[in-house]
Amino acid sequence: MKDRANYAVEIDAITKTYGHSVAIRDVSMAVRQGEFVTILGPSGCGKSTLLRMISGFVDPTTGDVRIAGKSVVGLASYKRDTAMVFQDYALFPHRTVAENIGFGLRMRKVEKREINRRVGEMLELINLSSLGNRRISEISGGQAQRVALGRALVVRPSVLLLDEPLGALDLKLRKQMQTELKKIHRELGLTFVAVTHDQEEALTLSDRIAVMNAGRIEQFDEPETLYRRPATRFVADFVGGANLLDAEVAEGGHLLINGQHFAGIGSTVIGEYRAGDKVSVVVRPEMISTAAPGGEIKSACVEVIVSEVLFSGAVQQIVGQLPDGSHFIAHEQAVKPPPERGSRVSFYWDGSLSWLVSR
Amino acid sequence: MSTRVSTASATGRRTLLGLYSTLIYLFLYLPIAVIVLFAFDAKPIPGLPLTELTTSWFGEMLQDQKLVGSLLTSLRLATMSALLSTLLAMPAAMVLAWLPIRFKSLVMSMVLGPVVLPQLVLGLGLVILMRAAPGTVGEPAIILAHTTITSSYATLILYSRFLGFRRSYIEAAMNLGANELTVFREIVLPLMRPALISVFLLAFTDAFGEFVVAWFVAGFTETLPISIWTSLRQVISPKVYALSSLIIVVTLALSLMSQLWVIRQTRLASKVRYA
Repeated sequence: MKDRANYAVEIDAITKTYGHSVAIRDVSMAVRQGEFVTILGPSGCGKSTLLRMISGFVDPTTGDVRIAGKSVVGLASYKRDTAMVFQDYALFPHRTVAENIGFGLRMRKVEKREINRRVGEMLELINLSSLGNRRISEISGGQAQRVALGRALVVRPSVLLLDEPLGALDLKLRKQMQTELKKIHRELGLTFVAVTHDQEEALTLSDRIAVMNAGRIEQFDEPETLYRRPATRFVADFVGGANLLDAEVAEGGHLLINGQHFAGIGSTVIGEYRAGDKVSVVVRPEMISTAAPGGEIKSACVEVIVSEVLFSGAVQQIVGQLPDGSHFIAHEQAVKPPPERGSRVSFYWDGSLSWLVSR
Repeated sequence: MSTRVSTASATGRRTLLGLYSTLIYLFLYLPIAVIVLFAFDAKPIPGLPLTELTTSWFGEMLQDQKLVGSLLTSLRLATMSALLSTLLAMPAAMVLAWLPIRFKSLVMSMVLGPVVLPQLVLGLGLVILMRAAPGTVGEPAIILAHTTITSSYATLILYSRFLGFRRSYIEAAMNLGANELTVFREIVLPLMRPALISVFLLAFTDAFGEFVVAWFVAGFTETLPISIWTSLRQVISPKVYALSSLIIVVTLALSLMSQLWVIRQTRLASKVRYA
């Protein structure tokens, strides 16, 4: 048996159904002590439900949730050692900033002087020392975000839950808060579990990311692994964006695309896959270079008709159309002029950098 | 040229609007104004034209044991009914707004029953019902009858307010360690206070002035409307006008104040900018 104390949160074979619809299907994951884990997925994938199960607002239909090794299924939210930062912050409008932050401590019957001291410390940590007596209606969105964070952190929960914590902020503030959130996590050493649909936010903040789709966890890995070695088509596409070429593994360690031998992808990329396996080749847009068609190219290569060129400064996005009509996208450094729309070009890349996922 | 025509028509429109508004307010407030005016009429039988003004009726009114007694009775009974109906309506509204209920629209339309029912019918029904419990005739019956009437729309008003209540406030408080009772005391009650007070005041004024149903079940109890009604059969004493004026002024001031207060509270709550 594994040492359970190492895990702050364990989700064990959870399924949640509402009537006939299944929100979460047999999901398991374990979050280590002090880790920053993000659950990433499109809206409606079940990620918020999962978070609400940890906080105690929803109970699983089957399966177990453990916090610090103890099962919490059926335990009311106010008896769990978790604190949550809500998407709409849910700051109490009839209380001041300081009263909001002190609320959890007051509920825990902490002595008044101790409350004042810890609220003061927290106001300092979130850089709002001068605003303690403000009403909630008198602070800005960015400040409200900090207050929500402070209100949850001040009770020193064993797990801090964040529901789309930066979703309501504008881009600049969001970047700034990302850095700050990361810093606070490092300084306090608490376990953070966040939920977001923003892949960039997840990649920046997290130690590990669980990618969810249609009620399942598709992959639970470190950000770099998700990006470099996605386990499924969905992860490849959702994290970072990818071109997917449907192929079949043939005898002798090579690939067939539309029945034709596909050069440039060898046995090292094919690895464990067997002859007859249906796979997709994952090609990141930033791997691709363009060349005039017909030239001698030793690497993996597809021929496309350029259907769109989008210029955005350092990088130009070239949208190519494959013979079957599907799109293939390249991000090229804008050092040379882009190909003409409607022209025929070769997209080539180092085949050993791409990899396969089952389909 | 054309601008002059349009300004002319704009002025015309404004005059028309002003006239219309004046008529509406006259229609609404003329009967009330007449009462206030007659309260100052020195003649023992008030009527136009006013020849001499006096404030002595207010003093005499306060000396009238019967009138003052019925005023106090009305105040007491209306307070009881308003309190009862607010207390009854609040949990009902919470359940209707927050919990999944089967046949919700049916339940809601049944709640509305006592409001749409003609008061005469309700009164008759209560009279028949009171035969089963003759001991309640009088004050308890009046309180119950007025609670019935006022709690039904109190429920509907509070229902819409609870529907608009942000549920994440409750979840946030629970998440921070507050149990159900504490959440109610610390979060729900303070945030709902303006709504509860305005519903209480509405129920109070309604119960205070209600005559028809009370008349049916009052027995020997004299509320103010009943007392005034009884005195109508003789000559209307100027004291009644004096008392009425007093009530009008107090009621208008109260409702104006409570409206202003509610508006201020709502503005504070909605000022939460990021929401």
